[in-house]
Amino acid sequence: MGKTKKRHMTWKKFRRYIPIYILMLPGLIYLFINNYMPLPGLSVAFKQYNAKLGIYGSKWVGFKNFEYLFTTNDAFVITRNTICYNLAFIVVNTVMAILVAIILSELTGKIKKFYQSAILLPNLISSVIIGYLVFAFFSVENGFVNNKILPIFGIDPISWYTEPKYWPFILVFVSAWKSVGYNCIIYLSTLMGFDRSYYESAQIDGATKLQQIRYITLPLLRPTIIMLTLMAVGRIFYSDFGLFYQVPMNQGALYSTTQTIDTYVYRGLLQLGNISMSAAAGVYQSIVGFILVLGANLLVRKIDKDSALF
Amino acid sequence: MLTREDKIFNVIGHIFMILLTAMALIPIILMAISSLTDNASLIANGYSFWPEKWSTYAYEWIFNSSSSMVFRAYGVSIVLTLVGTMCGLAMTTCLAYGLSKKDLPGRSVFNFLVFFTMLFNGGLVPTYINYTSVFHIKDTFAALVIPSLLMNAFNVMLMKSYFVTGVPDEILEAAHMDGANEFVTLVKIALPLSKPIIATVAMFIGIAYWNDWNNGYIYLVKRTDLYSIQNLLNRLMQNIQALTQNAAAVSNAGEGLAQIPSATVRMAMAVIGVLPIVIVYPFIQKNFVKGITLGGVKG
Amino acid sequence: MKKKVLAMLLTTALATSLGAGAITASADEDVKKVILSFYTWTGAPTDTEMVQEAMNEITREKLGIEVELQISDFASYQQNMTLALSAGEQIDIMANLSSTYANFAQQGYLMDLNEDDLLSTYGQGIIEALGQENIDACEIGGVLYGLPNNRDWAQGRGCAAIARQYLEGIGYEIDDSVEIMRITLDELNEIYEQLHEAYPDKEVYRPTTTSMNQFSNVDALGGNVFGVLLNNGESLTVENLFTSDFYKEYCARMYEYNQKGYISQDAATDTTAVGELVKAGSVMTYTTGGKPGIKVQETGLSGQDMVIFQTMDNYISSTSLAGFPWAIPINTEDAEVAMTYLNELYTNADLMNLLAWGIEGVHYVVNEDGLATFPEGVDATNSGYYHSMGWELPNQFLTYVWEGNNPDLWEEMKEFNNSAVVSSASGFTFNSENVLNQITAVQNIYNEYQASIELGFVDPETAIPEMNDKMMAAGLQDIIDEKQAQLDEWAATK
Repeated sequence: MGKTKKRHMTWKKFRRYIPIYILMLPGLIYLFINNYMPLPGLSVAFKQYNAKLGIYGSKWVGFKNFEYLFTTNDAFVITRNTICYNLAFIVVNTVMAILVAIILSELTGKIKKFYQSAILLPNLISSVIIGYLVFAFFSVENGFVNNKILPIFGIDPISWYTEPKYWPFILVFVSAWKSVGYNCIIYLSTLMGFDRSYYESAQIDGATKLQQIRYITLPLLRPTIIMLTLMAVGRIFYSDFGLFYQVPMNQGALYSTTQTIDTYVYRGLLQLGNISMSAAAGVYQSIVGFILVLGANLLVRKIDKDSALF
Repeated sequence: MLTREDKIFNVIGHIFMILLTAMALIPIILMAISSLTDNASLIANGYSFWPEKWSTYAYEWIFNSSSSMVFRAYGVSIVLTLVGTMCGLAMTTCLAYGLSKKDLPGRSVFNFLVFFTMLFNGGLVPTYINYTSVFHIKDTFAALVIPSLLMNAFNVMLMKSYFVTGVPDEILEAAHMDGANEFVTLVKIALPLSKPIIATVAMFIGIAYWNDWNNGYIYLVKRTDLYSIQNLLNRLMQNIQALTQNAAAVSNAGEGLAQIPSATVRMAMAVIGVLPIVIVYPFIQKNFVKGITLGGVKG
Repeated sequence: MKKKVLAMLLTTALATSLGAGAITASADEDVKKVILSFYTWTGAPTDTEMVQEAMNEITREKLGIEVELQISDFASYQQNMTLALSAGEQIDIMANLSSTYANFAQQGYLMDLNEDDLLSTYGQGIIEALGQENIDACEIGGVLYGLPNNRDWAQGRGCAAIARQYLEGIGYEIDDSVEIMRITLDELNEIYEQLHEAYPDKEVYRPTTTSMNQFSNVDALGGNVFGVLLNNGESLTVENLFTSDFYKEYCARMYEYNQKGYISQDAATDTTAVGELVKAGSVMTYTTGGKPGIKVQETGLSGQDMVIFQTMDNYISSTSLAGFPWAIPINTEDAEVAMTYLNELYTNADLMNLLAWGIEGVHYVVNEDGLATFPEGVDATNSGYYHSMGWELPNQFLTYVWEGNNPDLWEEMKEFNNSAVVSSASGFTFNSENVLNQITAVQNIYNEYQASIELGFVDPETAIPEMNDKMMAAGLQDIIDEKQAQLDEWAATK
């Protein structure tokens, strides 16, 4: 008896959800067309591509196309750089975005709109231009840093584009500079959605702003922070190509701290134009990201089920 | 009533934001000034906030030269951003709303299918083959709108999580009891409660369309009249870069470099790319903030 | 203003909704269509369709063939072609760069032009225009995938362009009776020293990452310097460039230049074209590749009178002939029609002039010397068809010479090609398939060190061995061995 009732419920429930499925349909169809239909093409990473035979007719070669990613002595350096930069970006950019979002949400007056627009602007500038702007500051002979700032402290000019040790700071700074305005919007909109009554009762209890932030805002932001971090973990083997290629002006001398998987693949294959080898790099990046994100998601599920991605 | 501590918080907050704003604006002001510098003086003396010699030649070149189609490209960018944002926002919202239903049959499968697309894609060549030989969108306006930009998993996830936390189930349930169907609850109840995230996602999609050059780069070969402003700018940059890189293979590369606009025109193009946003953004933001505050008042 | 914006929006929307209405459909069913793909620096000129129509007027009657020009800009060309070819889109005739040529051939995108005697049946005019031995030089592994184009195959190595005003400033005696002044390297060094003394605030010389190649007599087999032939390719022994005396001496010279302050500290980072640097008055000299017409070219680029010096030979390396081959992709609708049209391009001066300069009277006029120039009121910035890509087209020698050059330019160029030193490996094309991993790894190491070493920012005594050790560990010897093996095999069949 219980069984029939359950089945009956399921059908009834299902019928109730038909309109929802209809709403979801356009989005799902789009994902199918845009992301799933080309997916079998990934098989080219395991093949020796020949145009006469096409992607599906070409000869299987196993993991041969992946070898170049690991046989190089730099495999360790490029993997380390990619991961370390991404970790630094996750931490720095998240902290900055939350900080700015909280400050903006608490400030009053028209000027805050101006702040918000201004810090969004860097996001609209292409990496090539950012590269030239960075060059304007760090050029050896004409740069502002060498000509205007260092003399104040009595430091000799520095040859920025041949010294790899400075670039982790420069790149993390540029990344934060570029993304803070964009990232803080997410947190800002989440903050705005919070129930004001929490804050009102806290104020009545005499809580200061810092206390409100510590005990109300941050706990409420937790699910958003976890979700965004999980998504970033999935992309930990990818890097912003423009940031690592254009901003250091493609300088060979800086490779030890600026070379990432994406720039290595680009530079290595620029002349060869081999579509199997570049597909292999993509597969490698996706699979590592996938495994990491599954692991992280499992962990989150154990601690806080509602915040998990799926 | 502000306590002393709150006042300190305000002061420090303003100082912090002023510093941040200055850091954001100074390089951009430098960009604008460089675009108004005399080309030879820029090359000889480097970038400067107070150049030796000013010049508007970069802008004259852009607006006079037959090889540039700036106004047309603006038009394409505007139409593209409007059309793309509207369609994309509608699709994202509907999908996210469905995924936010906790007891939707198959919810976790759909969630996974959406998330999976964030990590895996077929790569450039298979995607291109799919769009050109199955859907024939090469050299059409659709090629600018549809591939990769229309909807992305990140925005869907973002919106979904907002629906889950920001739109209480009880309210939706109550609406159902009153006989409202799903479409009505979505439009009348869920959406008004979610204005902040809708505004946010709309802005993300809009920025993505405005900034995009990749679709045009891949799918437009013959229809140069469909170049968007960013596409035009990026082709220029890419050409300069490809020329410097390939100069070994191409003995006549220098000839090409001479034809392509020089340092100041590059900056001028960047200014032209950002300018409309600087002009339009305050208006969008006015509505944006209104949307957020309206959405925030509830309970 | 508001109205204008609105009108503009509407026009755009309208144009957009009409979709691909611009493509001209051929009314006559018997007329075959070929799609011709090539690149210019900035993409399709505005009047491309007009020129296309004029070209079709010639060939529609004569051959029953119409052409559709598909012109990409240089930067996106390789990607556009890779995508279009892998998607099976129709392309009948295409231009190549040496890098794309070998890759496309290896990945199976290009047709064997000798298959079914395609070339000998439909391309007799091509064979006549180029010479069979020059065509054979484009073979890869014994298969002909592309045809060379008529242009400057040789390159004058070790050339320096120096602005006249500075030479006059140091009282140097310029010989204006020749286009290129022959001097020794020591004499060049002396000029640099005097220039530096007279103009201490100006950068004497701006090297780039291509300067080493232009100042060498190595044969970079397969287009990369990992395993080369030294001394103009005298012998067929593949050697390691990075342990050669030539490389050491070259880098030591650059290091010395740098120590003396000839070169800007920003030289490795600044990507501004050298001509523009001279135009801006900050640099006095740079390296170039010598050829007939070079003086006019460099003078145009630098905005002032330039004097050209040459310290090495005119040289045709193994990759020179296959620099920009024309090919028929496997996606062609009809290879015979494509070859017929290609044959016409190599032989028909009217067709070639249209493709090179546009329509006479609209885009160019011919003056009494027989030189082409802009019509009244037209210049490079507002012309609807001016791409100056003559050297890329199949047979530049059929076209008008542009004003400012010697009317006998093409004759001079033929003479230049014929008298040049030819590498003994000329006609050899390297197949990189077996050493792809090594090339990727070594290329990355080269990228890392190249600018510092070759632009003289580090002491070559220590830096070159360091780079060489890393390259050896990454498989440089494998590449050299593979090149030697293929070269031996190639030589055996000659």
